[in-house]
Amino acid sequence: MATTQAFTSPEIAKEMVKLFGAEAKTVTVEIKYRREVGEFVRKIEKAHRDAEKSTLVFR
Amino acid sequence: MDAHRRAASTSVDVVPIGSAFSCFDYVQDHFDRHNAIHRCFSLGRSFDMRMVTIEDIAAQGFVEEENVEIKAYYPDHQMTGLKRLAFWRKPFASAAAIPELGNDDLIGYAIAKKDHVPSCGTHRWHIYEAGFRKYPHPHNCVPGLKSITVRVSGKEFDLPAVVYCQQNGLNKACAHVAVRSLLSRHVKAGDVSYRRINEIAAKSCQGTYSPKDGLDVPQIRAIFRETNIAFRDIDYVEEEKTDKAIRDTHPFQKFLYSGIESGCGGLLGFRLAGPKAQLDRKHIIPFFGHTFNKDTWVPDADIAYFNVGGGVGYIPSESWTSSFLGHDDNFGPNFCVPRLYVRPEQADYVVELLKDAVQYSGAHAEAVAIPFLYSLYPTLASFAPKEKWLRRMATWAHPKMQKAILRAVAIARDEYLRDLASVRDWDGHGERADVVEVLQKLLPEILWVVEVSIPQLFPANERKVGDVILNPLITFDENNPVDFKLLLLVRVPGHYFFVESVAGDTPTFVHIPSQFTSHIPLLKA
Repeated sequence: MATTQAFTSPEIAKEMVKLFGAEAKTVTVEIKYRREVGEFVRKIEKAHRDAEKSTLVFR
Repeated sequence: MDAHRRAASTSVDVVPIGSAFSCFDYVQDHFDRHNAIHRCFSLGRSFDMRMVTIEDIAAQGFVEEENVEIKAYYPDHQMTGLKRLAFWRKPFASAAAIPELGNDDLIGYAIAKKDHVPSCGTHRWHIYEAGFRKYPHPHNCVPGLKSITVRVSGKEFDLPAVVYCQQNGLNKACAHVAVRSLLSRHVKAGDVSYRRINEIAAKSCQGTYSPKDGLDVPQIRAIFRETNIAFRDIDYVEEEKTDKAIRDTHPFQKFLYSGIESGCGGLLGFRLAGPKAQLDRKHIIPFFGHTFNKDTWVPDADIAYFNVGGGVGYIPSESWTSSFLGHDDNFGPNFCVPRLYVRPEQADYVVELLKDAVQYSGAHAEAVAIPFLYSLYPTLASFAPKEKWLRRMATWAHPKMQKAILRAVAIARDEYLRDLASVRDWDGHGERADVVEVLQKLLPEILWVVEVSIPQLFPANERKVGDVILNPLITFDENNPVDFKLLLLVRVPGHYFFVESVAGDTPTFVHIPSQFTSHIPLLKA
């Protein structure tokens, strides 16, 4: 299975608007906590990259 | 690939387990008091075993391949015993009755092998592999459990189990057997022989490779990569050189639990403790299941809150896990290892295996769900006066409360949508078929589903109020770690939200009604 960089949610939104007509509403939302969560996940990915330098041996 | 499990027998011994039978005596007399073989008999006892069959079998498939490999390292090697033990819960008179037995009668099996190498003083049994069913209690969870086919006295049986393997100090150490245990249950990799594992390890070795000396982390990583298994790992020793707090901020339990919940499993490498432990000796074991203790005190005591950083957090579903289920090649299969027993300073390495082409960890997915879930609070609160389950959810997902319970599960789209189409909420409502059809057409083949629940509902009912669904195929962007492209949808009681567009850093959501206005069951693996 290949990776994809597609932004899929707007495609689904479009189809759902067709399905629900006037029942579909829109709302604009300010997204909070991106900085805090970004730091947390950056550390996971950094640790994963750094593990390539590991010298641990299990026997 | 499983010829070693289907090998024909040259003799069959049938031993009834009456009150006079002693596992201690039998293992002492026939298997030199071998501890892990005794553990197999103990597991049989726990299932009220009534019979054991012991067959002499020929070395076939991977076992035959192993003998060739050992001989290349030790030319004086001889295999002096190969026995297949099967443990039964139904009594029978003789081997002639075995074809009448069913899969449910089989508790487990073990292939015990004795290697003789005079040049290094080796003459001992080890368990080439074994498999035992899990306890039937529903709170003993092994997500993604598959069946192993094993032949006993000419008949093949299917046994739901995770392969246990043991080192022999010749061509495999603890790391080899831990890795093979998890590889054997992974869809794409299938079963992998030690020769293949050693070929990959030798290629990525700096210097002369000797399998009895174990595997280092780059070799373990090379094995997963060569067998096309995605993973995330942390070497805490390496990482704490630049981040002193890493063991606390990114605890190993989160990564193990996430691999387990997605049916892939995880590895934990740790320092041994105890009076005889050598400080530089490190052991690694595989985990594939967990217990679920619905009465645990931990979440209520307010110590389960997981702080992602900057005062942003949630209650992880792993808070209700008392023990991880795994194998320890030193001691045998299917052990419960208390989740908090291995102290953070002892845990040096963790690997979370990922499903298919998933690009990031379950801990990563849970964290990314937070901004979308909590930022929707004002909108949810505006609907809430008239919608009681939305109100209950919004209370716990309030940015000042942050006590939503989150559980990340990587799952195939089709499996998720089969569940969505078939479940009913507490009031008996099912989802609209045309909504499911649109999702079937547009969602990617695999999903990170971050299930959202609330206190009392999660442990007692094992149900949820919503899902934040993320695209697991989006690769990590260092400059935009919480990319809006990651979000596929948010489902809450009575509503779905989809990103329609993004202006700068502000998305506009389309929201439509959902037929689920209360809670639905958690996903079951």
